[in-house]
Amino acid sequence: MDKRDFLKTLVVNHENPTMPLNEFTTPLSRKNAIHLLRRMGFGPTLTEVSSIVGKTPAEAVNMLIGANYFGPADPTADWVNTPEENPLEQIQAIKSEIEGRLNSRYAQFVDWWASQMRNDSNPAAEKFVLFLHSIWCIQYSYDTTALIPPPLLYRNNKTLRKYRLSDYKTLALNVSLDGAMILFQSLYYSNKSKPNENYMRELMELFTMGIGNYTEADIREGSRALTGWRTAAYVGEPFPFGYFETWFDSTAHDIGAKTFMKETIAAREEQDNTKDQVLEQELKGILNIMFDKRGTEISKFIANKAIRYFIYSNPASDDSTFLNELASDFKNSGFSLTTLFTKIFTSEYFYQDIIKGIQIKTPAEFIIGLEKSLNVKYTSRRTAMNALEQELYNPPNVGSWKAYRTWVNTKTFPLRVKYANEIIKLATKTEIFDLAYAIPNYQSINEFMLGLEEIFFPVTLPVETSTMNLNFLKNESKLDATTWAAGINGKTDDVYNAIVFVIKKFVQYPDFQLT
Amino acid sequence: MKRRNFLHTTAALSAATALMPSFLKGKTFFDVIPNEKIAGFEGDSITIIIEMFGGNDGLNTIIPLHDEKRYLELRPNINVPKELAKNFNNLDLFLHPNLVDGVQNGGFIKMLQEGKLAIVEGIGYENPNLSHFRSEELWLSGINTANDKQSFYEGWLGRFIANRLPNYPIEIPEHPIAMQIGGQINLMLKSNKGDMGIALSDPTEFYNLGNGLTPIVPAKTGTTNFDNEFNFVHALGRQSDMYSQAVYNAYNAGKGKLKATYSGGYLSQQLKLIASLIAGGLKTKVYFIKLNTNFDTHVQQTNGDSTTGQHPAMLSNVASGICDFMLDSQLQGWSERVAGFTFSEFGRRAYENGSRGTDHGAGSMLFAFGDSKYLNSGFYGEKPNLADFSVDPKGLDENGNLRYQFQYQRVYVDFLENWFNATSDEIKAVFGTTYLPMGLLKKRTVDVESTETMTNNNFFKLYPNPTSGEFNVSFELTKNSNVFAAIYDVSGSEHNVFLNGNLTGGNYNLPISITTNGNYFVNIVVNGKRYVTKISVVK
Repeated sequence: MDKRDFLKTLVVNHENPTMPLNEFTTPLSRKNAIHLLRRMGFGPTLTEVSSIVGKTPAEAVNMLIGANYFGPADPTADWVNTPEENPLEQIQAIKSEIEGRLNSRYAQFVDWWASQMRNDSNPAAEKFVLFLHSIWCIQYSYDTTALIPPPLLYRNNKTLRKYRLSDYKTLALNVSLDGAMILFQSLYYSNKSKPNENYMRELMELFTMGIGNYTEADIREGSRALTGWRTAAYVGEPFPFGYFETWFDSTAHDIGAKTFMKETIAAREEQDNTKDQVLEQELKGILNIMFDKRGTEISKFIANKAIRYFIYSNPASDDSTFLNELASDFKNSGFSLTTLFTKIFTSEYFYQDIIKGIQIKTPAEFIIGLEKSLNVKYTSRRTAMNALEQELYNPPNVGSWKAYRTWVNTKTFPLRVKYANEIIKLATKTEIFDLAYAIPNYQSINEFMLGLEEIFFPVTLPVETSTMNLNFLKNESKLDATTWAAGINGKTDDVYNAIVFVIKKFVQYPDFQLT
Repeated sequence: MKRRNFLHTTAALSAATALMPSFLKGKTFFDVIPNEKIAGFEGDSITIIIEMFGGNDGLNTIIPLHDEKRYLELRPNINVPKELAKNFNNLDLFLHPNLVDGVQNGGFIKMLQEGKLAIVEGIGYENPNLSHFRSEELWLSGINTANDKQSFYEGWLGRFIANRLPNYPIEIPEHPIAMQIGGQINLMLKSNKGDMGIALSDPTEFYNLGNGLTPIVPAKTGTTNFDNEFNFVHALGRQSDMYSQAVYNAYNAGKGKLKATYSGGYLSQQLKLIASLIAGGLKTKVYFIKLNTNFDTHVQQTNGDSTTGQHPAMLSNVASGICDFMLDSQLQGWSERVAGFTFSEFGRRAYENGSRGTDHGAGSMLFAFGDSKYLNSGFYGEKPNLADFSVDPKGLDENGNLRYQFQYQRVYVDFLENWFNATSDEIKAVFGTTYLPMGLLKKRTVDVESTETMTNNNFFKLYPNPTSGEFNVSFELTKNSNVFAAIYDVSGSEHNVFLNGNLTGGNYNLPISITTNGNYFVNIVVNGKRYVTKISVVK
């Protein structure tokens, strides 16, 4: 085996062609409704479940996708709009003070975003934003010393939300113009005498088409076309359009001709070296060439990312037939993300039993999902997600979170149990009995247990485990099949404590980590 | 899957309650293998790895006073003057004073005198990447690639350990194989089967959180994706439970057995925790500690006197930690079991910057430490050539960085082969290629007491030497033998493999051809015993 073959083995990529992309038209059973809400959002509330049971997948997805939702109004807070001086240019004492304020605002921004995820009204919107954030990564703390001002992070987050259902090229254009990206990917420092290749490379390698579909010359030439873009990140720097707005420094832009993917972007005269013309002909020009020439590669690359994110993260289990057809529909729709998401969540493939429960919950799904199923609000969710190794807007590197099995280790597994217990503790009698009464036929102790298990586990538990759970419930509540109805209707302390006891047991079952 | 000796245990089931249905009681849910029964891991050797993250300034660690004039020219404000540096006469070496002063037991000079310390100069790789993160990834993954954008999800130790645990996660080691002290599990310990180790900060906290987490539901016997993921999480529950107890018990049993005084420095305190775990009988094979970012000395790396400031403080930290730990291991009687090394993702620019600091450079150096019985103490490599590129093309490179001399994976191969009995096939499975070992260690195994160093011992003949490119290798095998024979370039990277397999006894005479001028190492491993001879190709 030569080196090249060895490197390939590092990421296993078997192709298992099995299933074409067909629409699943059967009205949603309770089980399938829960499955859809777990994957398309962060996990279901029982109200959400009953709102889509009996609808066709197409109807349900159309309802959940939130096509008319463009995000909440801008919060009025320091972290949204307050500019600071560049801490790296200050003496140590001042630097520390500024960084202290930035850190606190960064935390407030993440708290805000996580609270949007917890918001019940748009179950899918924030999941899609998180999906896009995990492709178009931005790290708040991006070198050993540098921090991205939180107002820029917020604007990037807003861009992802606004364009989450647009066509992928429009998303790419708008994220490229985000100040956070301009700073993070060094466009901020790129100029005609020394074009910085960082962004052009990542744009192709990580954000659109993947490695192997472009040359080093494409990176060099593309980088020249992207020179001149700036953001007003700090006090004391130019801000022709206001703080945190992107602007164009024509003196830094390379006006010479560029040859990118064998296409020529013509040289321009000084008088044509303007923001509008360069944006139109060069930034958009580069993106147009990329999507025209590498459309197939882009569609496959992004469709594959969506499959890994929403269906199964194991690279060894890719289904080439499904992937190819999904990619093809994505491309033919003009790279519409609405089409991509809809095709996935209405496919026969997605609703197969073998797909249920195979995904390891991300920290966001774990925390937010549990909050939602119990209808409680956990104020430490940012701290918990950080400890579970998913710091929003601060992934370990530009290649994003490694995801899949790296989410659970001997450090994070015990912490997951700990945080789950803290969240369960927040559920008072009100939440527990609301939950209980939403279970069909809850007055039968057997049906109640099955319904409770259905909320917390992605696949039906083995009979033996379910029997054990039932025994826990009977023992703790001091009730049996005949006295259960009276107990649960009476909202007794014993019943409340018994249900909480059983949910706490659930937390330690391996499938509680799966979705 | 191949099944081996299993230890069946139900000890952790104490967590399950009496309410479990009777058919589940007493059932064996999982398999545990004692660490010493894992094929290849039979010995009790322990490796300590210390990462000096941020880019340690090697030129102010081992001071290049062999070229004092040039050193002072490159570093007018932050040099360590000759009168302060600690001279180790035997090797004509000059150490930073903080590696000795204030360190108990004579510090690194005494360790050199006693044969317990080795210094490798110029460790690195071709085309150094000066990003902390990327260069660190290369070091941790053990993969060298010209493609800067290849993503890594596995580390060299993770791959090595995973290959030795073919039944993971159905079968898990009794004690964690590897342990990282502090932080999140690092790339080095990741594998395609999951993390091949645990991260530990506080044994008591780990115990409180992890104790009792073995799932009371059985593992799955099927092989669907769901079953596989279920079992993966199941194994982590078991490991959290078992390991939190094992670590807690070892810590409590061992903390009273320490015999040396540990300084208050971070590294010393972390190594004290490790010493407690070892003394308490934990069977972990590899411990990893990462010292964070303070080596990234762009600004004010030292105060006026060269012995205080950010960089000198970190050197004190490193030397105290290693000396405290090695002294303790000796006093407790297990120093022969431990050996370790430091590494840093890169060194620093030869010339200082305008802020009394140094910028990211290349050509790092590292320390290896261990008992004199097994460590080949000394200085490895040439003293750095500090000449400007324009004066001497073999001096600093065009960017003012030191040249690397040795491929960094060579140190890993030393530890894998000599401490963990790795075969050439295993080395190849970890790195995709083999490397010539650095030669820092003698082999230590339980069954075979072999202290071969890397010499030829006249096993094979090589002629002519020097050669114009065509030469012959001849040797005799007295019996059927497993032979792996390869040629390495001067940095220790594989040039080509010319034999790999089982050969019958008899005389062998092989014609070999090398087309490019330079020095090479011809290396033949016969039944695990390595013979090496240097050859010069001059056309």
